[in-house]
Amino acid sequence: MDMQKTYLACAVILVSSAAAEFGGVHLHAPHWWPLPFGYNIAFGFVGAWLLIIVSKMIMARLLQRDEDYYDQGGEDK
Amino acid sequence: MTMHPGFILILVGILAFLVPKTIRKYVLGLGPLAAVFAAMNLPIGTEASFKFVEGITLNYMYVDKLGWIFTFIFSVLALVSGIYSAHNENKMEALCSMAYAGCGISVTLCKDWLSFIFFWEALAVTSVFLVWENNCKESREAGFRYLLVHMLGGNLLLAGIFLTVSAGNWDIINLQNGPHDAAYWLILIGMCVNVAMPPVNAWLVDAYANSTLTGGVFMSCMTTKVAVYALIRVFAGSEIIMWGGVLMALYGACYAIMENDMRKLLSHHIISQTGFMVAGAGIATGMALNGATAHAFCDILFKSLLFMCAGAVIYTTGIKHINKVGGMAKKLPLVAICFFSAAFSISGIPLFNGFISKAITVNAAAAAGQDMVYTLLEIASIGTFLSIPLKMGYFIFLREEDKGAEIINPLPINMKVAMSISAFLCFLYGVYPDLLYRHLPFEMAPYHPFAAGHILQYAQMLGCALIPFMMYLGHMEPHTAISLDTDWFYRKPFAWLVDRCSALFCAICSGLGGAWWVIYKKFMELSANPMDFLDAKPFRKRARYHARNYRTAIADPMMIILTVLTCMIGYLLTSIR
Repeated sequence: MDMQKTYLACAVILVSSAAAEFGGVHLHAPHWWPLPFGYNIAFGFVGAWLLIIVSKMIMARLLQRDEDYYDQGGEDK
Repeated sequence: MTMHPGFILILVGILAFLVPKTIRKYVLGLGPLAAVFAAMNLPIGTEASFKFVEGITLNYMYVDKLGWIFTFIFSVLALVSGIYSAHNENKMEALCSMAYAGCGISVTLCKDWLSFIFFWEALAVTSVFLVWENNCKESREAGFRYLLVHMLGGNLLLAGIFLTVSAGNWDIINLQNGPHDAAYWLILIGMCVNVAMPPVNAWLVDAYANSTLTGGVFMSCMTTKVAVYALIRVFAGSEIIMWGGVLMALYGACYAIMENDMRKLLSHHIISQTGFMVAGAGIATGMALNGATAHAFCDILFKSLLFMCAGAVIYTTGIKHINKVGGMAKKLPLVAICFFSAAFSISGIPLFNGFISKAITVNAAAAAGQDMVYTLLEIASIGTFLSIPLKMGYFIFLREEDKGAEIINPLPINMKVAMSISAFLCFLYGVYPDLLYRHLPFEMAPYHPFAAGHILQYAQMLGCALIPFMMYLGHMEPHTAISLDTDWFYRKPFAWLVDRCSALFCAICSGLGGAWWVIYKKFMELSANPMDFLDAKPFRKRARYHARNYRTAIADPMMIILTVLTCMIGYLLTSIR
């Protein structure tokens, strides 16, 4: 994956969407807290970062085993 | 004339089993078309029943709006999956896959509990063969585990239904408003097993990833969606299933990020997406129930397409691990296009069908004041975007590194046709949502998915989720490993316990058998010579029995016995007179 192009694409999406938000596009939300400028940008970034950290850094270390784990020492043959 | 689409599919399966393989592909490809037409021509309010035994009538068909929409999409699934599997020469698989789809439809159409449990159990029985027909050690073992879990769930459900029917409630109704008695809990647990709610979720990944490539497409959309239908029908409004749904959405998303096996990853996402529907059923406003229904409808289209694409990669390369393939977009361009259609759909990207369905449930949670549910479901949506279009899309199709995966089997034309139809449907419902919205069964205020604010929200959220993926790209490539799930409990400690208990019982049986054998031998030895009792002397050397040695000794008691017997007979005869 061309990192530079991908980051550029992200930047274009975010800048244009932020411009649209500034330009008066009304975000729909039932409460006040998803409405401030940049909330969805921060939410997307933090949410993805959190999921990667939890899955790859914590769960993977606790839960991942060799592929023959269940065949070692005897499940049903 | 109205016909039952489920019964049509069961007949198609039987026909496919009986005809020669040259004709079977046409039966599989075209037979389900009759079910689709039957479903389209099924008027709301249609009822059909038959008298089972005296006093019991089975209402095997009752069409309302909720049942109809599930019936229709299951028929469409049977059609595209039938086309996808038309090249398959395995007649047992053809029979079981169509019967499985037929039983799924029959569950959604029946009105009474007895018909419901019959088709529910048949669903498990027919689907286990789609696992076993993969014909390898892993699939045989996974099939048995699948069967055991579904026997547990099915029997709990049966017990609950028995109690409900015993109380005189024959028809399927919402139990949430009634007493929360034993029947309520048994039925709830039975349904949660089929919907794969943690901790009874591991059967899904275990079985679906070990099923046949074509059978997996049927399985990916049937059992869990039938259970979603049942939860909407019976437990709408349960707070337990609302939080259970949220747990499923996050649980599946986290496991999918770790996973390396393509079909296991997609199976984790079945749990995750089903979580959205289950949460919708729990919230139970008109909007949430419509959201659950709409998302089940769309999920069946894009999830079956994802399984078809993964199956196509595995079929052509013989490789199921993500870290062993790469650059497939150049080798399988049609599969790549279809994959990204489904991947964009499941992620809720505008112009694809997930966008018009997923957000209904999420927004319904916010509208119902369930802010935490809303936030957690949004995070689960990000997880979907991370693991399917980004992780699978990049590592399987887009990355330059080839990894040496070669095309060893060309893709049959029927598989290409089926994937193209599904991709088209994902796009069609994405750009023209009213095709779906007009059939939604519950009342709600008009919903406009293409509001600029809604598009902007998803563009910002998903666009920004791409940045952490890029930052951790090196970590995101999965490595060859398995992830322990709740099945660990019955595959390791429980298996150990069963093993040890079996050894203990075997030892007890063997000990008791030995002791009994000693007693038996002693008894036989003694009873071989009754004189040992009569003539017993301590330390006397026992001789082998011979009548000559004991004739006098035996004659004495025999004479006494005969005398007593004669007296008794004489006495009896005189008394009778």
